[in-house]
Parts: sequence; C-alpha cells; structure tokens
Amino acid sequence: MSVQNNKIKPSQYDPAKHTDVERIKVESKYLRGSIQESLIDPITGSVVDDDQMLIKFHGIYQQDDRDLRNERRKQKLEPLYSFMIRARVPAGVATAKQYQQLAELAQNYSSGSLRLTTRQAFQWHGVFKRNLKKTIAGINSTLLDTIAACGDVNRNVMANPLPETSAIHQEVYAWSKKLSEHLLPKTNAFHEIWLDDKKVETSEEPIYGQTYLPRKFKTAIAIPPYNDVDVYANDMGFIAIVENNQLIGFNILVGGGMGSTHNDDETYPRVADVIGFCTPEQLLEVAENIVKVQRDYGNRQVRKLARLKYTIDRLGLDKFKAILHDYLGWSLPEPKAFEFIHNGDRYGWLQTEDKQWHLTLYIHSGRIIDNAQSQLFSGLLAIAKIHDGEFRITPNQNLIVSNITPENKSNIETLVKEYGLSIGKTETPARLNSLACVAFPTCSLAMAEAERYLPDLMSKIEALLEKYQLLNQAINIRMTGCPNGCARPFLAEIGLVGKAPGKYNLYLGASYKGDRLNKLYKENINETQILEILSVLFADYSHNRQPAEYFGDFVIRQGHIKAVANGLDFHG
Amino acid sequence: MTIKEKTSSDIVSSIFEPELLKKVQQLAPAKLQWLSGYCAGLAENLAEPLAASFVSPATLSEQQSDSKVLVLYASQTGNAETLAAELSQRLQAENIPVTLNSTLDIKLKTLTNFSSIVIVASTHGEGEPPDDAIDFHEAIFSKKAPKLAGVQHAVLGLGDSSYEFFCQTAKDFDSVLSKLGSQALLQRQDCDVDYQADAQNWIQQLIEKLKTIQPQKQELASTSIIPLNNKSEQLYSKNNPFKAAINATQKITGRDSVKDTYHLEIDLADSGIHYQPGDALGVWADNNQQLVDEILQLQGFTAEQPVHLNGEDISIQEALTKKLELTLLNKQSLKQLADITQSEALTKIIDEAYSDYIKNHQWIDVLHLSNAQLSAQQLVDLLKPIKPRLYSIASSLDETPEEVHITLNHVRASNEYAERYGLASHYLTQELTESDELNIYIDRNKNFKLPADDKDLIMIGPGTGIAPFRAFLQQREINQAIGKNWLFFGNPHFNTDFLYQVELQKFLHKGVLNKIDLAFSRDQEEKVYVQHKLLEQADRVWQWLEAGAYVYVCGDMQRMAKDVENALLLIIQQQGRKTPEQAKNYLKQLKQESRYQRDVY
Repeated sequence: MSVQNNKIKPSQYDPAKHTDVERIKVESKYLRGSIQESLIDPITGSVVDDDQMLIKFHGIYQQDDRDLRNERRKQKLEPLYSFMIRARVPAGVATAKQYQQLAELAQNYSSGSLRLTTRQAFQWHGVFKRNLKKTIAGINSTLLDTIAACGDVNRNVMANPLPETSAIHQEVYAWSKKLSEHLLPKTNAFHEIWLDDKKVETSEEPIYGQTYLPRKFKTAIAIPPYNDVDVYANDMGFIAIVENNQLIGFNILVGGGMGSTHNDDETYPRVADVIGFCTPEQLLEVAENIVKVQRDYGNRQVRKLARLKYTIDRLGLDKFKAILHDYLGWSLPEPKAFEFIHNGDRYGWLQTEDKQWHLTLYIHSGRIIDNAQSQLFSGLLAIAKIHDGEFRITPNQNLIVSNITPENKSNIETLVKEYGLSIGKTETPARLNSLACVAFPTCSLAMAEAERYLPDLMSKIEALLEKYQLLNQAINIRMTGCPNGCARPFLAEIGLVGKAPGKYNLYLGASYKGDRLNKLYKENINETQILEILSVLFADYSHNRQPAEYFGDFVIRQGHIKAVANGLDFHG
Repeated sequence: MTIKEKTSSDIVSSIFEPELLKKVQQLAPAKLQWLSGYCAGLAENLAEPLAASFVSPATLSEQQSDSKVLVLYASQTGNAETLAAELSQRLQAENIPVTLNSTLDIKLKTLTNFSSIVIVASTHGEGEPPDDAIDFHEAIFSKKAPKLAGVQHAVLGLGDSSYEFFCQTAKDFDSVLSKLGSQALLQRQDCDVDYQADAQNWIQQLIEKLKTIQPQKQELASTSIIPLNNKSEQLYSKNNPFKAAINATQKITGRDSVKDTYHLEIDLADSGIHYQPGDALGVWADNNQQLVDEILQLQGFTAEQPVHLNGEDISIQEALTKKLELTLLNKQSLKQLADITQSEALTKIIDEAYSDYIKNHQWIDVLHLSNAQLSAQQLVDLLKPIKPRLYSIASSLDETPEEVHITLNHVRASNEYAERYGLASHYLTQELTESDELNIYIDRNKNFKLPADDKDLIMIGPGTGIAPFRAFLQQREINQAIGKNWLFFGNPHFNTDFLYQVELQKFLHKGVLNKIDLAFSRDQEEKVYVQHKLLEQADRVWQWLEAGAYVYVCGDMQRMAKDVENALLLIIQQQGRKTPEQAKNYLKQLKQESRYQRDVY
C-alpha cells in the first residue's frame, strides 16, 4: 500500500477538537508556561493547573498526601502538596559518585528515601515547592537530569542492566544513551527555569513540534534471552540480535502498553508487535520515524486513546507499517529469530570474565529507606562512598552494585551484612518477583493501596504456597493502585489492580516470560476473597501441573481463564 | 439558617440606610433598650400598614431570586461538571434563570434563594462523595442545613455499578434534600459508566418539567414570607453572660505543628447579640477538674468542705472550679502566702525570679513549693476571683449570622512538676466539645474598628493575631468595599501553620485581599518575621501610608508589636526622610487619626 500521495503533515492544533492538554502544550511556548511564576507564588505549595501538566515534561509530578487530605480540609489548610521528581537514567546506570549525590539530595530535600522505578529511573518523593529548584539543580550537577522523565515525549530508555553479557551490554547501553539523547526535547525551557540560564526566545522542536506527542511514549531495548525490560510493554521496543558475539542489529517492536481504564472496553493493555529489523546504524532513524508517525497519527482528541497502541489498532498494523516505510523512505526487512526465557532478576554475587564482581540486591518495591528491617538507605550510601563502579537499576526495581573490584568485594560484603541488606537469598521466588507501584498516599490516581500493602498480602500468599508445596515456584505477582499500569500488572501471572480501598480486580493467565497478557478473572474482591480463590487455584496447580509448567500457562490449559492473544481481546 | 432568619436580615438591610444601621449598632446598651421600646410602640400603633411596608421590598427580591434554578455539580473527573454545564446552558436557552455552581463553593444558606435545586453528582471510591463535595455533603447532613420547604429538587447520579455503593452520593443528596422538606421534581437517575444516553434523556425530561412549572413560582414566593420576629433583644454583658453552645471546634494547625491553634464557632442563635469586626468575645471558663482535685488532695480538703465567699456559703470544690483564679499568679497573694507559710523558697522566688517563675507556674505549683498547709477558708481568701478571658473575634456577623468565631492557641507550659494549661484555652479546646454550652459576652473595642469602605488597610497579624483580620476581610467583602487590603501574616511553618490558608487564598482570588506577605520563620536557616517582611516592602508601605492607609496590628504585645512598631518607624524615617523624632510624631499623628490601631495582648 502506498501512502506517497497522502499529504502527511504534523497534526495541526485544533482547539475545537483537541483535548485541553493540547492547548496547554501550544500555549506553553515550548514547555515554559507560567512555571517560574508558580514556583515563587508564596500562598500555595502547588503550581497552577496548566503548569501541573507542563512540569511533567521536566520530570516532576505534583502530588499531595492523600492520607491527610480530609484532615487538612477541616483545618482550613490546602492539601499537603509536594512533588515527585524523576531522574532520567538511560538503562538505569549511575556511577557510585552520582548515586551518593542523589541520595544526599534525598536526605536534604525529600522524604529521606529514594525510589527505584520499574522503568529504571530514580525518584524522589515529598519535595516541597520551596525546595524544588535546589533539588533539580542538585540532580543536574551530578550530570544526570530530569528532562522528559515524564510528559508526552519519549521517556527514559530502558535497557538490560545485566553486566554478564558484558561486551554486548556495553554496546547496547551506548545505543540506549544515544537513543535517549536523540529523542530528548530540544527546548531551552528546562535550563531557564531550573538552572537560571538566560532565556532563549525561540527554540524549536525538530522531532516533536509544539504539541509534542499525543501521550507518553516508552522505549526499551532487550538483550535475549533476558526480557527484564518487559520489552512487549513498551510503545517502542528493540530486541538486540547477536550473531557470532557481534551485535548485528535490532528487531523492532511497536504498540505495547499497560494503561487502561476500569470498565471501559475502548481501553486495554496491549503487547507490542514485532514489525521488522534494522542495523545499529539505522536505529536512531527508525526510532525517530516511529515517533513521528505517532506524532502525526496519534489521537489528540481523546487522551485515554492516545497511546501508540491505539494508533496502530486504529490504522491496522499493515497500514501503520506502510506509513512508517513511507516516512523512512525504505522498508524494514523481516525480523530475526530470538528467544526469551526470563524476565526476573538474578540475585546475589556474580563474577564476569573480566574478574569484576556484581551484586544484585533485592529491594522491596524499589523503596530505598531505613526501617526496622534494614538500614537500606544508609547501607547503600555507605557502599557508594567506597565503591568506584556503578549502581544499576533493574526493571524489577532492584539494584545491582556493578563492577566491584576483587579487592573491594569483602568490604562491600561487610557493609551488606552490617546494614542488613537483602541479596535475595532468604525471600521466596514469588516475593522476589513481586512488583507494586507507589499508590497511596502520594499518587493522585490511586484507588487502593499497593506498595504499603503488598508485603503483607505476600506473606499470606506465601502461607498458601507453602501449604501446597509451591514455595519454590517462581510466580509473577504484581499489584497496582489503579489500572494505569505502572507496575505492569497486566503482564503478571497474578495481577491485582486496585478499584477502591481494600478492593482489587484479579487478573490471571499472563505468561511468565512477559509476552502474553492476562485477563480479568474476578472483579472487585477483597483480601479474603483473593486468598480463597488463590487457594483453590494453587491446590489445582499443585496436583495437576505438568513438569516445568508455569502458573500463568497452567490456568489457561486447565480452563480457568482464556488466553489473550492481544489487547483487542483483553476484554472479550 | 432558616428562611425566617434570612427574611428578617434582608429586611434590616433593605429598610435601613447602611449608615443609620451602623449608628444604631454603635449605640450604648441603655440607648438601644430605649430605642427598642420606642420602635415596639411605634410598630404597635402603625400595626398593619407598617408590616406591609416592611415586607414588600423583601418580597420583590425574594421573587426574583426564587424563580431561579440552581445547578450544582459534585465532580471527580469532570464528567458531572460537563453535564451540569450543559444542562445550565440548555436552561438558559429556554430563558429559565439558572445559576451553575460547584459544590465546592456553594454556601449552604444560599440554597433557600432558589426554587429548584438540581444536583449532578458522581460517586467516588466506596460510596464517598468526590473531593469537591466532601464539605457540602457533610454540611447538608449537619444541623446547619436549612429547611427547604417549598423548594423542588432533582438529582442525577454518575457511578459505576461494579461498585457496591453505586451512585451513593447522588442517593445521599436525593434523600437529604427530601428530608429537609424539598419535593422531588423528577425521579433520580443513576447512570452507569456509559452514562451519556441515560443522562441526556433525564436532562431532557428535566427541562420539560422545569418549563411547565415556571409560572408557579410567584405563589411560592408569597407563601415563603414569614412575619418579622418581634422578640425583644435581651442584653447580655460581662455580668449577665449569654449561655451559648459551641457549634464547632476545629484544630487549624496541621499534623506535627509545634502549635495547637483552634478555630471555634459559637452559636448566638436567639440571643440578639450583635458585634462588629474588631470586637472581642469575653469567655467565662471553669477551672480544670483535675487541677481542682489535685489541690484538694494536696491540701487534704474534702470536696464538700464549706467556705465563705462573697457572702455565700459554698463548697470548696465549687469555689475552686467556678469562682477562683488558679492559673494566674499575682505578687500580692504570693507574698501573703509566703507570710503564712514562712517558705524561704517562695520568698526567694518572689524577690529574685518572679517574672520568669509566673510564666510556667500556677497555684498548685506554689502550694507544692511552699509546703503550704492551709485551711480551706485561708486558701479561698488568698485567691483572686476568676476573670473572663477575651478573644479577638474572627468573624463578621454579616457573613455568619448568629455565630461568633474565635481563634486561639491551646496554652501549655511545662515546669518541674507537670504540664500546665491556660484556663480558658484548655477549657474551650480540650474540655468542651460541640454542643456544650459556655458563658460569653461581647467586649466592644472602639479602638479597633474598620474605617470607611474606601480606605486602604494594612493588617499585620501573625499567629492568632490573624483573627480580627479574618473578620475584617469578611466584612469588606460583604460591604463590597473599594479600599485595598494588604495582610502580613507569619507563623513557624508554611506546611502546618498557615492559619485560614484556604480562606485567604479565596480572598486573594476574589480580589478582596489585594496583597499578602508571609513570614514563615522556621522554613529556612535565618528566622524571618513579619517586621522583616514590612521592611522588605518599605517603599510600598510608605506609599500606602502616604495615600491614607489605615494600619492595624494584632497579636503578641511583648515582642511582635514592638518589633513591628520599630519597623514602621524605620520605614517612616527612611522612606519619608525624617529624623527619628519626626517619625515618632508621624506615627503619633496616625494614632490620633485612628490610622494606627492595635489589638495586642
């Protein structure tokens, strides 16, 4: 199919049809808005409505402590506003020195903890408006930044953090950085607002234009056989193809995404389609043009239908490919064969050929904080001070202390013991694989608890697993406070998605490898009901499973739930 | 508030020139009493004709407002708001007068201004109202809710039937409106996630219905007129206080604040009590029972032991609880006690450390210290009578008719024995709860009064010093005063101690408050107070002064008021190029012109 004759132009802003977010982008003068005025307004800890949308592009979300909302309303006080800041860390790699500075910022300006995200970024929570500029400037001084960590642009580029595939990993990591840089917004607004740079009146966005993308855009690169990055859950994905120990290129994936709305069949999670192959040198060109197709064809009238996955299903995959080929001026060759076996982390110590050591630490829900169980925050800060390698964030919200010299290994081992850090040897496989989003009290979208509650629920689930001799079985269990999917719940073998305080939708039947979605099994159930259902299913699984059969595959074979081939039959 | 109350207050403002009204309100009690008798006599003589002329102006305005439809929305995601806006537009197109409002900024008392109330409400979580409707929901279920006889209502619910409490908020509103006496105009429609078709259908029916009932409104208006309440006003005073009920007690500093600041709302219903912004509320408080028991125990008295006080025989317990001051010390009594007990420790304190000692010690501590073994009568003779405590009033009677609000800190101080509490602040905030009664009266303050509406105000009130300025701003808003208003406020922390933050934000947005400067002393390394903010704005302050602005200071006398005065003098000196002496004279002149008024304590 040729689209040569169609006049394809960047979508023109149409105030009559487009969402209000589009207006905000247009009026913002390339992401400036009135952020500077909002920051100095002394009567509120918030920024004005339009700026709340714009600061996302700068890596900042306004939140408030929802536990206190009602109390403060009665006290005639506004909600306790604070800001979540997300640093963009391509492939999740930071040096020990950088980590130390980032942790010190958390001590000085935020709630005293850091959070690792499921997309390999660092987050600070609870930064008050009066400390925002100081924190952002501090992050910038580490040579990391927060530009495009959120917002309707390409966000942090994920890549496999495992050092064990060393040479290839280095190469892929370099590409992830280039890709991240290439797709960054080019506006000078960030530097003017946060770093007091002089104002540059005209800045242009050669890739994005003044309305940027219709919605957020997520990119990941996976290196088989590991699918740690959940490459199928991204708008744009690349699978590294290695032949004879050489990186020969990437398979290209488009149209993955988790977000959906409860009881709204127009919205659904979707796993990405593999549409072709490109060489490393073609990577940036291909990525840029996929972004441009989404820029021009994405839905700007209904925000919940604006992700690339809906654009593709609306156009049809063939039409989408045709448009992309037209944008590129050449056609993508067929994808190469590959195989994934795994999407979890390998905990503990690992030595690579170059004699360097790597330590994967288990970090519950990615929350780096000192508490009764362990002095995780203090311990990692102590390690950062004596370590000269890196800290790598895994897509499962864990942390790899990488490139530890053989001489330094025992020092770090001592600190791990001293501060009570977990190297994943005492937790069950189910717990190690579990993921939760932040939810209450800070996330404004949350309908139910996640991070604060999942550990308790996991203990109860572990009791069931023990009863049915399944304690050593790895099962992916993920919980989110809403259906927007931050912890990728629709790719969990057991997915729990919040509906109201104490109530969840239960999803079953995703594959362990992360290439098949799950499906709604039971709606709006409480803890007792969740445990009752799981008890029955675990009993069945324990007695009737086939050798090496994963739970997500079992529930389908046994007829508990239908398999989902793709997003469009997620609801069917 | 009821229709009756509204009608009578409307009448007051419609028959009196504002200036005449002001004059009447400023009259001394004796003159007022005379006037009320005079007016009652006059009314009796004129009887019928006067009553008619009383009512007619109000009737007109009632009719105009009564024929209106109020469309309210309680929206979480904006769907309810969109539907409400659409409904309102379509009503306008039918020439049906309509007011569209969020439940967030509707005042309960205004509900009675409408003949029909339509609510479009979504439901949140497990049957809870959306955030913008929580206050309204709470208020309309409280005893403050007005009677809605003669009003008609219709409710449209948005929800998700997969939840147990489907459209609960809409159901709540529907039932409470009926309970308040309103008639259902149309059956409530509960819409599910795919709400459009049901909602549109319902809106259509509603519009048809409203079109048909429009003409009936005039009847409604005429039946809602209630005759003037002729009950003569009782006059309350310090020695004849009014027994008022507490309507609300609310801590208004946030969690983890170092301050315990409270906002109290006290019911003046049927008291006829009037006050003006700037006046103070006198409160008679009882001593804390635990403190009284401790003293009884320490001295070995039984509760019933009789004592002689002011020519009466009462029990020692009653004397200590209701009659005698236990929290404030005075030198004279302490000296007497030192004579009786021959306590060297007490004598030493009186001579050497009196002013520090009295900051955190009370009578119980002195009795401990001096090892006093007094008779009950001896103790009673030593103690001074309880005095009422005064609080600057934080409300305007026009904003909250029949209520008076105050702002106060719960006073606490620790010493070597225990934590001690202020008499009235402890009584008001810790012992009394909503609907408990207490004795109050109005303490007029002629020297802290709003100027004419066209004058500009600079108000300096850190901490609870904000109280009278809340009243000022309410009054200026109601008066639609054209003068500008500038507030300086300070407290330790922005997050927890920004008293009345949300109200002040609204005043700013509405343009009632033109300028605000905030000093949160502990949010940064160096401590910043209101006087620093004044100095930062020296040129503007000077401009305002030269343009005739009135300056008001309320709050701590010991430090703040002095520091503020010094800052003002410095501004006058530097900006006005004056010598220190001339600056003093300038300020003196301001005082004489009532342009520098203070309420400090």
